[in-house]
Amino acid sequence: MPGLSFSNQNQSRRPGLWWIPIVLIVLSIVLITLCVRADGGGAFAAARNAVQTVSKPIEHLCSGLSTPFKGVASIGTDDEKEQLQKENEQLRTLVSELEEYRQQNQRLLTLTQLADTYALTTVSATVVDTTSGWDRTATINKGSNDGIAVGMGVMSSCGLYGQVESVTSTTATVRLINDAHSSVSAMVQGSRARGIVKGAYDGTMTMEYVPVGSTVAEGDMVISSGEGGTYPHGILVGTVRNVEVDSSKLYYRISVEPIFNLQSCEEVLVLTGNEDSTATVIDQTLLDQIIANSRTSSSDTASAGAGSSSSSNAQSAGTPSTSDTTASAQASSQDGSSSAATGTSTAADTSSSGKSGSAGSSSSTAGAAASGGSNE
Amino acid sequence: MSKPLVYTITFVVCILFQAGISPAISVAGCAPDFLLIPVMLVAMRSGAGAGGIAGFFCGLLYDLMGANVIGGMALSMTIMAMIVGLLASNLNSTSIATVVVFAVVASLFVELVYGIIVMLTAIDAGGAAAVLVFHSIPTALYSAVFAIIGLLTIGLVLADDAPSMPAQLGGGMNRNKMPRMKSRLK
Repeated sequence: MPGLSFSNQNQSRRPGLWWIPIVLIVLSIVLITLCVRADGGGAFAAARNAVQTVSKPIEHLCSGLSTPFKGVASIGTDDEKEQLQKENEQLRTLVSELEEYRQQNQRLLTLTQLADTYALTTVSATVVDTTSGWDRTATINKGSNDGIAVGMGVMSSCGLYGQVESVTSTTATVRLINDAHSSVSAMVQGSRARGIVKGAYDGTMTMEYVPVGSTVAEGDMVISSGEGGTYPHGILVGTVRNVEVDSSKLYYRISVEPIFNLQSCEEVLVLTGNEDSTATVIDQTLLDQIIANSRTSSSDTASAGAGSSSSSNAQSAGTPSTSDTTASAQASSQDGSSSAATGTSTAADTSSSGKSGSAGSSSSTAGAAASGGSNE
Repeated sequence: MSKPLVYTITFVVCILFQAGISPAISVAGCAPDFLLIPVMLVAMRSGAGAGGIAGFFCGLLYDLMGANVIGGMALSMTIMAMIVGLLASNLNSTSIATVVVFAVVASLFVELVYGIIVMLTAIDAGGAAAVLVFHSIPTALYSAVFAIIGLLTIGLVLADDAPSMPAQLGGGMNRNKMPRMKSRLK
């Protein structure tokens, strides 16, 4: 291999610049300290928003340009075979699209019911990108032009989703609740034991500061407590997976399992305001539906090619109504465990959605949820 | 092609790639860091001082384009550029193998230091070790691939200016131009 001289000897010996990296290293440490102390807000948020206002459109443009190349199919040799394959592909695409519409319809219906139940002022948005690794964030297609601001809570059809981290005019970055930098004030639904749910790098969530002696059992629902004002009271956060006493022996360390895959969420509601802070009663049937919805959506994804049920459901996708919801819910119940109960509860929810609609069909658990009262 | 022009083009192209291409070609959450290329180029060609400045500002840009703590990547890239600059200035001749080793080690260093900084500033560092292993290392290797390609390509472009040294990658510029460059820098 021939000798190469990538480095430039003459310029590297310039003595005037050696101290600059040292100053910059110190400056970086100061920046990190200030950023952590300011919790990423203030001037840091403004600078980040300014940069992302320029960088996000470029990202979207490149994402849009690369999308067609991701689904390039192989080309056959025989004409008839090729034609049949092409037709088959088209039909598969159609079935997939119809199934997509059906699922989207179901999710949007649940979202609408949630917004009605909590009497929230919301802005619906679509998740266009998610990141994992050191930061678990999602980019949504709505920004400050739509009234979204930093710090607003975000929920999905299946429960709590995250908090707006930064905003540009047309997009916003949402930090997911299972991000290591996230924390949510929460409570165990059955015992009303309060604590803080924190995320971690591996995507798990832990509920801390729940006093030892509180009644917490595996499978209990964890809901937002409403403290702090970012999220309304009673939104589902996850379920209790494991309970152990922490090293101080004063508090439980509760492992919380998200009820759905946060990374695969597509439609969300940004909580831009709360019209009626007292209307924070969650309907148990709606809660059941959310859980069933999150479970069936994952199994539906696997069985997207179920032709007949998909096409029949898709016919009702365009006009959401009570009967449509029931039909789609019943159809989805064919897939798995949620059974016909999902269908009936959906119908009940649709007819009783609203601020007071939850009272009629609330079970004892729902009553417990309601006892949290007004938004703190 | 003059060095300032090459630097400018490299910076602009890499920033655009970082903003647009990097998220589009991410694999399992691992997106390549294109900003490593201009930082390493400046560090290897112009020494620790200029490399440190490039590292700081490119790292700051990376931080501002992401959602993590601001200053984390700026710190790791500044340190990396300083070390690369010092090492490169003490090497009389840099082979392709050396460039490859520099790119891989620098990329791993940046990702691991950045990971540790992010981990230290997190509320709960649970699962951080797994992310270091399963995210930082693959990301570093992915970034290193592009860094190697980028650095060698830029080296070839720079080598075009030195017809007497066709095998030299960025050996610099035509020796006749050196005095002029020096006076310009002064």
